[in-house]
Amino acid sequence: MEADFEVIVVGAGLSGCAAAYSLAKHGVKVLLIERGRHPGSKSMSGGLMYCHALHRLIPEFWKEAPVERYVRRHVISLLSKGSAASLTFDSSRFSTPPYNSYTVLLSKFNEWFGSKVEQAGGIVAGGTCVDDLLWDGAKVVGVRAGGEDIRSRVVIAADGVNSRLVESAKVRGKFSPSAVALGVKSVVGLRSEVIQERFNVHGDEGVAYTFLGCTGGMQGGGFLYTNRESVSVGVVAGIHSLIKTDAKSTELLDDLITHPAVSGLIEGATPLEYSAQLIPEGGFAAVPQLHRDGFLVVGDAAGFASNSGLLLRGMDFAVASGAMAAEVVKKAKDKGEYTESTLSQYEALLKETFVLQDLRTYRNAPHYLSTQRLYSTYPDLVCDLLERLYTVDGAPRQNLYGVVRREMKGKVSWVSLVEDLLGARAL
Amino acid sequence: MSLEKLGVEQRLNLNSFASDKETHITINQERCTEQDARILLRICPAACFTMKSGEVVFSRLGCLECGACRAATSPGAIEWNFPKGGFGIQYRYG
Repeated sequence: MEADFEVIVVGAGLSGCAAAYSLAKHGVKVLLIERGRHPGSKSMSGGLMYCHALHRLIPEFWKEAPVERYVRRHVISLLSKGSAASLTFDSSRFSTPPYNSYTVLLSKFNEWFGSKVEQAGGIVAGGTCVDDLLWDGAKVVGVRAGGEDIRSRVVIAADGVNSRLVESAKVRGKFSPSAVALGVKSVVGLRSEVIQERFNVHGDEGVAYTFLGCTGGMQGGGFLYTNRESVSVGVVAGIHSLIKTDAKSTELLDDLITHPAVSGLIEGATPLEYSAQLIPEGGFAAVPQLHRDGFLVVGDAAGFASNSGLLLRGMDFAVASGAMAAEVVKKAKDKGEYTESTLSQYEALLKETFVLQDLRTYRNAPHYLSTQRLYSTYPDLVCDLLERLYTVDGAPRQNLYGVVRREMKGKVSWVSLVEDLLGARAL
Repeated sequence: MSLEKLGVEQRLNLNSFASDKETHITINQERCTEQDARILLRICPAACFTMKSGEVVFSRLGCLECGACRAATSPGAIEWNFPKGGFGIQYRYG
C-alpha cells in the first residue's frame, strides 16, 4: 500500500523534533505526531542542555531558541542536617560561545523546536495520541492514531521514557524499577535582578547546583539552577529505593527546599509550576533493541540518559540520537532502499559517537550508584568532619586523623570506605 | 506563598490541566496486591491514589503522567495509559 508519509516521528520532544527537523530539511516528507496540544506541553526536564549536539544540528541555536542562562558555575553540595559542604567550579570558558551548557525550560524550548520543524517543511500534528503500530508481517508500516491508519516507510519512536511503542514493537519489555528514577521539580519565579545579585552572576550567566544527601538516604539527589527569571529546583530518587522506604513522593522536594543552604536561594520566589517525570537510569544494560524493520528508537524511549554521579545527561543524547536516526533514514531515501539492513546502520552510527560510547564508559555506574552510603553516610560524614574542624570552643583538639577516625566510628568501616573509593572508578 | 508552605494540592493548582471525562489509569483490583496498594498510595507525586472503602482508587485530576505508578507496581496491577490526545497536564515552563 502507498505510504502517506516517508517517515512518521512519534513524540515532539527533543529527540523527535531533532529527527523530524533534520529529515524535513533534507526534503523528506515527515509527520511529527505529538499527544500534547503542541510540542512542549508534555515536556519537562531536570538537567542542563549540553549544547554540542544541538549546535551541530542548528549552529548557534542559542541565538534564536528560548534558552535561559548559560552555566558558568557548577556547585556540588553535600547536605547534612543543618549543614552543607560545597565545591564550586567557576569557569570563564563556559561563558564564551560555543557555550558548554544552557539552562532551559523544556516546554518553551520544545515549542520553539516544533516550530522549526514546521518551518523546515515538516507537518506537526498536535493533540494526537498514537495508539498502536501498523504491521505488514514483521515490518512496521505506520501508526494508528485517533482511529486513523497512517502509513509510512519508517516510524521513529520518540515517545519518551514511558514509550508504548517500544513495547508494541517488542524491542523491550516493561522496565524494571531499578532502571528508572522519579524526578519531581518546581519552577519558582524570581526577578532577573534578584537572581543576579543572589547568585552573583551577570547578564545571562547562570549557576547549576547538584545536591547529595537530600533524599533521606534513598538513591538520588537534588538540583537547582537559575533560569532567566525563575529557578528550577528538584529532587530525583530511584523508584526501587522509593518502594523500599516509607517516603512519599509528594514530600520528595521538602527536605531540599527547607535546607538552610537552599531555602535562602529561593526565598521570596513565586511558585509557578510543579512537575514530575521518570528518568532512564538503567544505563548501557537497559538499552533496548534500537531498530527493527521499518522502526527506530531514539531519546528517552531508548533509555539514552547517562548518570555519572555528578553529571546527569539526557538532552544531548536525545538530540544526537534523533539526528542520527534521521541520517540513516536520509541515506535510505537517497538509495531508495528502506530496508532493515540500511536502518540497522543506526546502531553502528551510535556506537561511533558519544551516545553509545558514553553509556558504555559508564556501564558500571548504575551498580556503583546503588551504594546506599553515598546518599547519607558520606554527606553526613563530610559535614560532621568539617563542623568538628571548624568548631573552636576551647576544648582540647584532636589531629585530623583522630577526627576522621572518630567520625567514621559506627558509620562506615575502613574496608567499606576503601571499597567505595575504588568502586568510584565506575564513574 | 512560598513553595515550602504549599501542600501537594496547592502545588498542583499552579499547573494547567485539560481534564478529560474518561480516566486513563484503572486499577485492576484482582491483581493489585496489598504491597502494590501500599506503593500506589506513596509513589504518586500528585497523590492521585487514595483509599476508599478498603480499595485503592485513582483520580485522574492532577495526574502528571510521569509513570511512577506503572514502574513501581507489579505487572498487571494497573492498566496504564496516556490521557487522550490533547488532554491532561499542559506544562507551560517544563
